[in-house]
Amino acid sequence: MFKYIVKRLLIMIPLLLLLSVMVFVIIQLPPGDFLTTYISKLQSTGMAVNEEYVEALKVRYGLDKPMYVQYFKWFGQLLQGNMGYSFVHNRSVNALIGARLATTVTLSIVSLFCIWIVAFPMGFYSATHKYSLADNTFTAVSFFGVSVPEFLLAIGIMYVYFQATGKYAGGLFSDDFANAPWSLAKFGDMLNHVWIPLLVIVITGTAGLFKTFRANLLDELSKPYVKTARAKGVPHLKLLIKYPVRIALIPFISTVGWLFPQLISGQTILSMVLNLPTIGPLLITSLKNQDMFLAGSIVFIMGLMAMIGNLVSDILLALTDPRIRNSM
Amino acid sequence: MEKLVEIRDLVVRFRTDEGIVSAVNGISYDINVGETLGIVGESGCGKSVSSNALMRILPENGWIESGSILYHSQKGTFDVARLSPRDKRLELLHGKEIAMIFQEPMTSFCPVYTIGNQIMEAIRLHTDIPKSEQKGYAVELLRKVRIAKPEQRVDEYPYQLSGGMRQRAMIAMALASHPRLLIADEPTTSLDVTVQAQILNLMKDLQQEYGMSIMMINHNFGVIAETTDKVAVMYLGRIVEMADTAELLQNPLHPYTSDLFRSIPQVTDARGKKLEYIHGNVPDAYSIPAGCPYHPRCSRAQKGLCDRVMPQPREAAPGHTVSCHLL
Repeated sequence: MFKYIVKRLLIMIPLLLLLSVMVFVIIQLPPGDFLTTYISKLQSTGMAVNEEYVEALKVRYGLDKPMYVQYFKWFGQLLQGNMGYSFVHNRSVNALIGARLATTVTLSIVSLFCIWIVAFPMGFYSATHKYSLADNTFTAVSFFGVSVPEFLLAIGIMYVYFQATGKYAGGLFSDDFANAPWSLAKFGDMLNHVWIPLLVIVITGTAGLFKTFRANLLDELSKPYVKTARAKGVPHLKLLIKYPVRIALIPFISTVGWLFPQLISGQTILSMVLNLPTIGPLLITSLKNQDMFLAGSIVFIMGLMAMIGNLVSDILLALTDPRIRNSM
Repeated sequence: MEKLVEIRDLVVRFRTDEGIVSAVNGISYDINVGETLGIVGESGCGKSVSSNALMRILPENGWIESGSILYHSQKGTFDVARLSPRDKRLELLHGKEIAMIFQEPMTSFCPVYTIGNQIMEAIRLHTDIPKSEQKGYAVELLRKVRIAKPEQRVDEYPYQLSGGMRQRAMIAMALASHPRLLIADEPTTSLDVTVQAQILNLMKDLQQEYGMSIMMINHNFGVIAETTDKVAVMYLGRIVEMADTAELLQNPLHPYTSDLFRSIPQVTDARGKKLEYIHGNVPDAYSIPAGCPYHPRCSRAQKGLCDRVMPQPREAAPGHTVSCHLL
C-alpha cells in the first residue's frame, strides 16, 4: 500500500510536466496574444497606445521570444510559486486567485456537505421504503431538481426574491461590505446572501446524488448476502448500514477524483448568473481575453487537483474494498 | 417421532405488478427432529417460499395469508405465522435454532468483509463465547467443514475462495450456533458435480454430529434421492405427492412425479435415444388452470374430471399421500 502511494506520487511528476506543456500550448493556440488584441482594441477606439509600456511587458514576459522560451519562463516561475501576471486585471495571478480561493473553496465544501447531509438520508429512506409516499415524493421532487438547470433556478429565485422584497439578490456581499475587511458584520452580511447559491446548488446536487444513491442501494438490497445476513439474525438497522449501505457508497468514493477540481472551478455558470466572487468566472474571462498566465495557472491548478483527487479516491477505495486493495 | 416443525394449510401470497399471486397454496408438512425432508419441483413451484415463510424472511411484497407454522423451539412451541415482526422469538428463528444456506455461494457472502468477520458475527449474535476465543472458534468451524489451512482462510475475503469452499464456509457460519434445523436452498446447484458430492457428504456427516434436521430444497431428484428421508413433490404451489424417499422412488404415484423421473437421462440409455421431457410449460401463477393444476400437461388427464375438480390429498399407502383423481 505504501509502495503503491509512493509509486503514484512519482508518476505524478512526469504527468504534471506533460500537463503544463499541454495547458501552455492550448492556451497559445488561438492566433495572436493578449498584447496584440489589447493594442488593436485600443487602436480601434482611437486611443493612443503606450508603445513603451507594451514593449516593457513584452520583454518582461518574454512575449517576443519563441514559444518554448516563454513556456520555460512561465513554468520556472510556477515552480517557485509565482503564477505570473494578469494583463486584464493588472495584478499578479497569485493575488487574484488568492482573493477568491477562500470563498470558492468554502462555498464548494459547505454546499457539498449540505448535499451529502440531505441526499444520503433521503436515498437511504427511499430505498428502504420503496414506493412509499415519501419515496414517491422524493423521486418526483428529484426529477425537478435534475431537470432544471442551475442558472435557471438561480434566475427564478432572484426574480421571486426581488418581487417579494424589492432587493437584488446577487453577489456574496452588500456594497457596503464588498471591500471591507472581515468582521462579524461582514460575515452576517455574507450569510444573508449565500443562502441563494447554496439553495440552488443543494437542490440540483441533492437530486442527482439522491437518485444515484437510491438506485445503488436498491441494487444492493436485493443481493443474496442481504438475505444471508437476515437469516443469520443481524439486527435490521445494523444489517443495512454494515452491508448494503457500505457497498452502495463505494461508487461515490470513486467520484472524489473529479470532485477535487470542482472545488476550484465548480459552479461557474451559477457564479456568473449570481455574480459571485469565485474562481469560475475568472477562468471564463481570462480565456476570452487570452489572459494567458491567469488562464494557464487556473487550468494547471485544476489538473493538479484532479490528480490529487484521483489519488485520494484510489486510496479510499483501497481502504473500503479489499478486492481493489489486494490487486494493488 | 418428535416433531420440530408442523406446517398446516399454509398460503403465502405476493403482490406483483400483474396482481396478487399465491406462491404457496395450502401446503402441509412436518419436519421431524434429526430427519431430512426434501422439497422438489421445477423452478417457480414455490419450493423456497415455505422455508422463507418459516424463517419469516419473505420479501417485502409477500405475506402469509393463512395457515399455521408450528415451531417447537427449545423455549416452547409457537405459531411462526402469527408472530409480530417485532416478536423476540424471531431471534430463535434467525440463525439461532434455524440456519440457512443458499444457492449462490458467490454472492451470499458480503464481498467487503473477511470470511472470519462474517462467521464471527454469527458467533457473537448467537453464542456467549468471549471475544478473545471467537476467532479460534471460527477457525475450528472452518476445519469442521474440511477447509484446508483454516487459520489462513479465516482472514481471506470471499473472492479469494472457490465456489465449493465458499459453500463450506457458509455451512461453517450456519453451524456457529448449533442450529436444530438447517435449511439448504439449492446448496449445490451452482457447483460442479464432484464438489457437489463432497458438500452433500459433508452435510450428512455434520447432521449426524450435530443431530440437526435438514430441509433440502432442490430441483434435482438425484440430490434429493441421496440425501433425504422424506420427500414432498411440489407443483404450482401445491404438494402433489409426499412419501418416504425410498417409497417414492420405487413407487411414484402422481403422474407429475413419474414424468419427472422419466425425464432424468440415464447413462445406461441407448445411444440416440431421445431425451424425455414433460410437454408444455409450467403455467404462470396468474392463470392457474381449473381442476388439477397438472392436467394440461398430464398424458392421462380425463376430460370432465381432471379439468374441473381439484383433487384432494389421499393416503395411497401408509405415509404416502398423493393428490390425483386417477388412483
